[in-house]
Amino acid sequence: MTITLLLWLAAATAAEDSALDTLLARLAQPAPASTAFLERRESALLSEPLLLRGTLHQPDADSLVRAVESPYAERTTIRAERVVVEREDGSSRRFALRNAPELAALLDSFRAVLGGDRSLLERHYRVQLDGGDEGGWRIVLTPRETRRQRRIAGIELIGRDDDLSCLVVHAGDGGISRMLLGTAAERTDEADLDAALAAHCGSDHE
Amino acid sequence: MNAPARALLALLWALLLLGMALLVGSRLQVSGDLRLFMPAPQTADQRLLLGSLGEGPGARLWLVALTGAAPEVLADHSLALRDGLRERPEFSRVMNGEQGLEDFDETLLPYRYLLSPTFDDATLDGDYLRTQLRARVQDLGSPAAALVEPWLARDPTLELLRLAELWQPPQEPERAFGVWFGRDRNEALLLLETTAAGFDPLGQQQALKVLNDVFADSAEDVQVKLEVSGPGAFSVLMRERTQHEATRLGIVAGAVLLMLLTLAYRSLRLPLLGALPLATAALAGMAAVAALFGSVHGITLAFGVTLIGVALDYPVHLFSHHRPQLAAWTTVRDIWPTLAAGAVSTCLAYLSFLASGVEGLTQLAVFALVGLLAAALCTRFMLPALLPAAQRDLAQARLPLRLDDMLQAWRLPLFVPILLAALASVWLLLSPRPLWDDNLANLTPVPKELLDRDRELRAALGATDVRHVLVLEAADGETLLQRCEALLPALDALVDAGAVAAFEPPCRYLPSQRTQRTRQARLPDTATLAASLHAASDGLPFREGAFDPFLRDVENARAATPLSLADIEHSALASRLAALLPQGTQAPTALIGLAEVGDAAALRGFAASQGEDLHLLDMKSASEALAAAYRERVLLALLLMLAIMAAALLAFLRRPRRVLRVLLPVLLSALLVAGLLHALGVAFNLFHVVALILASGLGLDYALFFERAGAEPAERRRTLHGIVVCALSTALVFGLLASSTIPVLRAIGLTVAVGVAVNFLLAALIARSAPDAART
Repeated sequence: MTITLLLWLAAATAAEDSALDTLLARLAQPAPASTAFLERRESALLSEPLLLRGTLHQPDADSLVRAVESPYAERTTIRAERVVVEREDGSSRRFALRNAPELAALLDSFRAVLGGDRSLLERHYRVQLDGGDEGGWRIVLTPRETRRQRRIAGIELIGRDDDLSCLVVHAGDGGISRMLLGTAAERTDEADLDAALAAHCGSDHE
Repeated sequence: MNAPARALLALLWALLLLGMALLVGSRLQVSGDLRLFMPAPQTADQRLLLGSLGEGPGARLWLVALTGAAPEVLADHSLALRDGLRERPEFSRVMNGEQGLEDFDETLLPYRYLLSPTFDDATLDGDYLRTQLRARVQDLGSPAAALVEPWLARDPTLELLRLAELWQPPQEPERAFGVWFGRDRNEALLLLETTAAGFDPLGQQQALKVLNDVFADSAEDVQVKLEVSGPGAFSVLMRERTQHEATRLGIVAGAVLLMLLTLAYRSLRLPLLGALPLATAALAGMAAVAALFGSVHGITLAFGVTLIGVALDYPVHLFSHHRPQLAAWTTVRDIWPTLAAGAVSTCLAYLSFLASGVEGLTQLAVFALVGLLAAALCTRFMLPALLPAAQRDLAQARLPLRLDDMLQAWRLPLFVPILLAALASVWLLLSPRPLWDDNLANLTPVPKELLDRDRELRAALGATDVRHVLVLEAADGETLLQRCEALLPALDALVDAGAVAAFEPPCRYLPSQRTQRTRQARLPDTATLAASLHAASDGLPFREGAFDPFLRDVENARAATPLSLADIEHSALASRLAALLPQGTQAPTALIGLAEVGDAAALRGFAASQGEDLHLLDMKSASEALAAAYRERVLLALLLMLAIMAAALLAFLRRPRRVLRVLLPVLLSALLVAGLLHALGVAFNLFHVVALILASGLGLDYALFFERAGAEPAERRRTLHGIVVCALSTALVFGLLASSTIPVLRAIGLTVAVGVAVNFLLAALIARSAPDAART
């Protein structure tokens, strides 16, 4: 009985393993790659959330550019653990990537998913694939190190078929940020964002 | 006494010493503060100098360089190092160029508008706020939102960030990957400020240990190298090197000594017994200093142990005079008058140090005095009980016999050494080279390559100069800060003119109360500010009332009592200001730190043109003046020493002629050794003086024993045996020290080794009585 269960578990894990490999292979895009994003940011100081639209661009495997196009232009470049934010007025600010854990999570996910690099992904995260119906899927990343966990509790990559459409980052302090990606971002109008987030980012959206 | 009883007694003694060592050890607070060995400061500048040797703007700074990897990797290590050190109590500031709000001191938050010069030119109005608020919207939308969001409600203009920038070092190095780098980007630079004062070696050592641990934690790649520079770090480094080398040489010297004594007495037991009085002396000296002064200074300990090295000679004399069929007690009674004469007159001579008015020397005198008396008394009253019966009479041994014959045949007219000594004196007086090394830094010398590297890093980091500082004095603290502010435009002009690269005035961190009041008056009242804020937020997505904390803060700032020095005592600024506003000066004094002084003359001229209250302090010349004053005291003490010694010897020997025969070789030797060392290119410092005193003390003993032996051949040979063993062992031990790479050890080693050799020769020539009828 126990042995049967173990065998079944092993088989299931192996099946999931190969499914993850297949999925990662399908999602992989050689650098340079880029995708549109639509993001909602909230703050106690703001009367309404900020809706940011722009492009995430990966010029090579180790860097990521987050270019905001509206409601203002801003360009954030991550390279070698360093972040540079450049503004329209020409001012720029630099800080270390570890001060922006959310951004680090973004970079990690992109690196792994677009690069199709599973071993890189598994070095820092425990990876779990949930298959959904009609080709939908969800990759859940949980940081391995407790230090990282304090900043990022988990990352969810959600999509359908070959298309990564939503990135959910669970911050260590309980905050959740959601970002629409790819065609989902392009097709969604700011006014319909809530509905689109609910549709693409899963049921647990409040 | 039979053998087992003797062994038991020796064991008891050793145990007693061990107990004493534990007791003394617990009271021992070894400090390496060289200032204890400086005379009391006479002028205001000297007071500042002694203060700043440990606490000045430069003395607590560590310059740190990371090298050996690609810039990105180095930057990562720089960030990790700052992360790891920031919270540590050992460091009051950890700077690597990374700017952040995270370590801003919250107690200063309400005062930010009084401390920052932002609104001296700009006005906190609607236009200003609008620009700022727009930028804040983007901040909240940026991935770095988490960094600024907690502060925004209180500080939407990010005034804190501006203060943080203002408090960066006066002149910043190049930045790459967000952190400081050297010019060609192959070294990441950090500036650390220790909580411990620069002269506090234990505090500095602890800080260095923390730094190394944190670095080891973060540095997975072994190729990244950590370099630490700065006065405090050097003191730790030099201390460790000196200790390491002294230990190494000490072990070798101990082995050589043991071998020599074993050979000389054909016994392994005697050398071990001989160590007992010496150990007793060291412990008694330490205990006495600890009891009288509370702590034992590290240098006292080092010098003290050197000075009581003569204590090893006491048992040697006893061993050499010991012979079969004679009780050890009889032998010791025989030589006691001579031994006591040497010990007592040396001890009395050390009393002269008490008159020097230098605490370190006073401690040293107590240490040596108590130590030598203890050693002499041990040799007289305890050692004979442990001494086994002698196996042979050393007067019959081959070597003393031959040597004695040689010395008997050695004839040199007395005028030769006198003439040589006279020549040496003339040479010392007329030599074009300076006799003394007045550079205090040379007392704890740092290798030149480290100093060069320090200068390089200091320039790269724009850290304040350790040599020059502008000193401003005023009647009270407020006037001081106002004067400091008034000097700022002129100081800026000096930077433009290239006289100095940057300056660090205390009023940059703490403006005068007058300036703070002016800034208060420029802040809008709540109603006006609320209206401006409302207009500025128009069209921006901020929640109504989001910035109420900001309105309250500005209102508080308007009403606050301006900050004074006392208010910031516990804030992050305190350590910064403590260095620039030294305490304990007669008049309130401000130091204006200078970075990369290019034209000291221009600075001096500037200071002179500004009035009586400002002058340029050159630490180097101030310290040289101090050292010169100090030297005079030491030389006076030496003269006094000589007089006391002569009087003591007269009391013991009763006849002036005998006193002359004992003192003459010692005096001539001192002159000859000084001349010889000068000829070798040695510039004298405290270490040479102490070493020369030791050599003279040893020489006095040689002369006394030679003089005592008289003409009876057997006694003469036993005496000769004892003195040769003494001189040879001392010369060997100190000769080893002379081979050291550490200048301090080399100075002591060379002086004592040469001194012992010359003293032995002259004592043998002058104090020995053998063929003197023919000669004198």
